[in-house]
Amino acid sequence: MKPENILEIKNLKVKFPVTGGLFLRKIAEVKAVDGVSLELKKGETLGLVGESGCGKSTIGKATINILRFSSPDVDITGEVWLRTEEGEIDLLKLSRNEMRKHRGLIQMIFQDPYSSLNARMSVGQIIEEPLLYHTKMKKKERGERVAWLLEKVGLQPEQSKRYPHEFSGGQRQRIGIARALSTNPKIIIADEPVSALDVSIQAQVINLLQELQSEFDLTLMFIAHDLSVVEHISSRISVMYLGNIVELGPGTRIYHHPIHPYSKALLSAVPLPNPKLKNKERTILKGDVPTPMNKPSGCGFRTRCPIAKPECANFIPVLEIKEPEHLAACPYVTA
Amino acid sequence: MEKKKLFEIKNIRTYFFVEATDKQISEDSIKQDPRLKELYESDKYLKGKVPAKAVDNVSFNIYEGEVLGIVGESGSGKSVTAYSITRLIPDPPGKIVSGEVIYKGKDLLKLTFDEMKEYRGKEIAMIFQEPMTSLNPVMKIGDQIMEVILNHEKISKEDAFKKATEMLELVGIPSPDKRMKDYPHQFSGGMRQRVMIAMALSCHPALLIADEPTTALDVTIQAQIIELMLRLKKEREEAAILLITHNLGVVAETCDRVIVMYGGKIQEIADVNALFETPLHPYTEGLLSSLPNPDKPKGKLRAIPGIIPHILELPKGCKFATRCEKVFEKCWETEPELIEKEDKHFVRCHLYS
Repeated sequence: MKPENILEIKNLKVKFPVTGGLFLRKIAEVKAVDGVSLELKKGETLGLVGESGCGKSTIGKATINILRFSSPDVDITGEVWLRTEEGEIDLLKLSRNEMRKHRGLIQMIFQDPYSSLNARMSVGQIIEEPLLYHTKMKKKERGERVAWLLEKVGLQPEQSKRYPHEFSGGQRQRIGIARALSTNPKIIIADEPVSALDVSIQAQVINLLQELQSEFDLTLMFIAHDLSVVEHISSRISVMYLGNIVELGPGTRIYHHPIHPYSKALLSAVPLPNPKLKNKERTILKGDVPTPMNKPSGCGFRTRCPIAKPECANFIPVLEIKEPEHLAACPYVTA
Repeated sequence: MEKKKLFEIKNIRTYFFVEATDKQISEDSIKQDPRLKELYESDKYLKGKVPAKAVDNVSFNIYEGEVLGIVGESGSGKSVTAYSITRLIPDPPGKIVSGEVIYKGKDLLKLTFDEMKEYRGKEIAMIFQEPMTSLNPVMKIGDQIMEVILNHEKISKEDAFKKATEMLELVGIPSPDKRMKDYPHQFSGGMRQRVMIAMALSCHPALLIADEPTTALDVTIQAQIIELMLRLKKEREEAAILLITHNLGVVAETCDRVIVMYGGKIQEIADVNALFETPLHPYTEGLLSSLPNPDKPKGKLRAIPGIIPHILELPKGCKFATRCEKVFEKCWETEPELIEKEDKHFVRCHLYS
C-alpha cells in the first residue's frame, strides 16, 4: 500500500448469478463490477458517480464485506486492503469473525433512512448496538457516548428514548450518521445519503457530514448520482459506467473539463438551476443504459457513444493518464 | 401581447380529514369556518376528525401555450393541487372543500363523475412519476394507448391502432409496430415514460399535467424525456403544461412561469428568470442558495434551518415562520396576503406589505 492511502481496492470483480429454469440453476452471470481499482487517500472524499446499474453501490457493499456474508452465491474476486493499527489487511480474505473485529473501522450510511433503521428499537438502542459488538464499554459509558453522539449530529440527547417513526427523513439520516460514528471509524462509505431528502434538508446533511469529517478526521467514499452534490463534497471523483471506471480525477477538473465522452454527456444532461442556460448546447445520449447482463463487447459505452468507432468493439479500454492525476478510459480523447 | 387564459383556478381548498390527538384547536377553527361547519354537519364520516389543509386557498391561472411549474418540497401541496384540477383526490379521506376550476366557461368541480370522465384524457391528461405503476402490467402497450383513443374519439379499431402506432413513433420508440404488442415489463423506465407521454398526448389535450415525470429516471434519460416534452410542446402551440417537480434545475430548464408552494399555500409566483435572479420570498431564496453551486468557491452550504412542520402543526401566521431567518413578530400572528410586488411577480411575505 502507498503510505498516503488508507484503503486500496485492487481489480475488484463482483458477479451476481442469474438463475432460471425449473430448478433455478445458474444460467448466466451479471458482472456488476468488472475489474475496478480505487485508492482512498487518508482524509479525502472520493465521489463515485454513475447511473443506476453502473455498480457504484456494489463497490461500497463489497468493500465492507456485507455482500459476501449476506449472499454467498455472489462471486467476488480482487483485493481490498485496509490500513489498521495492526498493519495492512485484505478484507476480502477475512472470515466473518475476523471481519467483525475490523468492522468498526469502516462504516456505512445508507440512502433510505426509513428502512435502514430498525423500527422496533429506540434511537438510543440503535446507536448503542455497534458499541456492544465492537467495544468493551460499560452500560453507563455507552449511554454517555450515545448522548454525546446525538448532540454531535444535531439532535437532543433526550430524544434517545424515541423511536425512528417519530423523526423526519432528515433527522433519521442524522441518526444513521450517529450510528456509523459510534465505533470511531476511519472510513465512512455513504451510499446516496441525501438522495431521498428534500432540497433544504439535503444541504443540512451535507454540511453535517463535512463538519464531522474534519472533526473526526474521516475518509469518505461518497456514492451518489447527483453530480453537483458530488462535486461539492468530493476532492476526487470517479465516474462509472456498466461496472467500469471510465474517468477518475480531481473533482473540479472532472466537473468543468470532463474528458471521457460518457462523463461529458452525463454532465451536459444535468439540468442546472439557471434559466439563462436554457438553450445551451447539450449532448443527449440516445437509447438506454444496457443492462449489465448483455454488456456490449469491447468498450461498454460504445452503443451510446457519440464518437464510437468500429474498433471499439474489439478491445476493453483501460484507464490512461490524460493530464496529471486525471485518467480516462478512452484512447480517442485528450484533455 | 396578453396571453389567453386557458384555466382559471380559484380559491381551491383541498383538505384531508384525519384522526388527531389534539382536537380542541381544530374544533375552534372549524366553528369559525362556515363552509367547514356545513360539511361537518352534513357528513357523519367527518365526526371526530380534523382537517389537514393540504391545499389551502390556492388560486392561479394557466395561460395558453405556457409551461407552468409548481415547485415545493414534500408536503407542500404541489401534487394535491394538480390532483384537485383533475379531481383525482381520494374521497375519503380527501375532499375538495371549496373552489373553482374554470375551463371554457365551465366549472370542472361542479361536473358529475361521468361528465368529468369526458374531460380527463381528452382535455386534461396526466403523467406520473412512476411509469411502472401507472401502466397496466397485464395489458399490451398498444391496447392501453388504443383504449384512451377509443374512449374519446369515434373511430374504428384499425384507425385507432394506426394512430397509437404513430404516437409511439412520435415519442421516439424504435420499431413501434412491433412494440405495440409488448407488455410494460418489456420496456425500460425511460421507455415506459415515453409510452405514458404517448398515451397522454394521443387525444391532444389542452393541458398536460406532469407530476415529477423525470424523478425516477437516470440523468441521461431525464434529459431525453425533457427534450421530448419540449419538442412535442412546440408542435402544439396553444396547449399548456403544468409541471410539478422538486428539482429546481428541471424548472429552470423547462418552465416559463413558476409557482412556489410551502405549507399548502402559494408563496411566490414569477417568471422563471425573475424567480431565479431576484427571488423575493425568504423560502425561495433559501431553496436556491441551499443548492451546491460548482461555480462558486466551496464552503458551507446555506441550508434552511429546521424541519418542515407536520401539516397539523403549521404556524397560525406565515406557514414558513418556524424556519424563516427574517421572521418578526407580525409573521406569527397574521398570515400575509399574496401581493403583486413587481409586474407579474407575486409574493406572500410581510417584508413586502
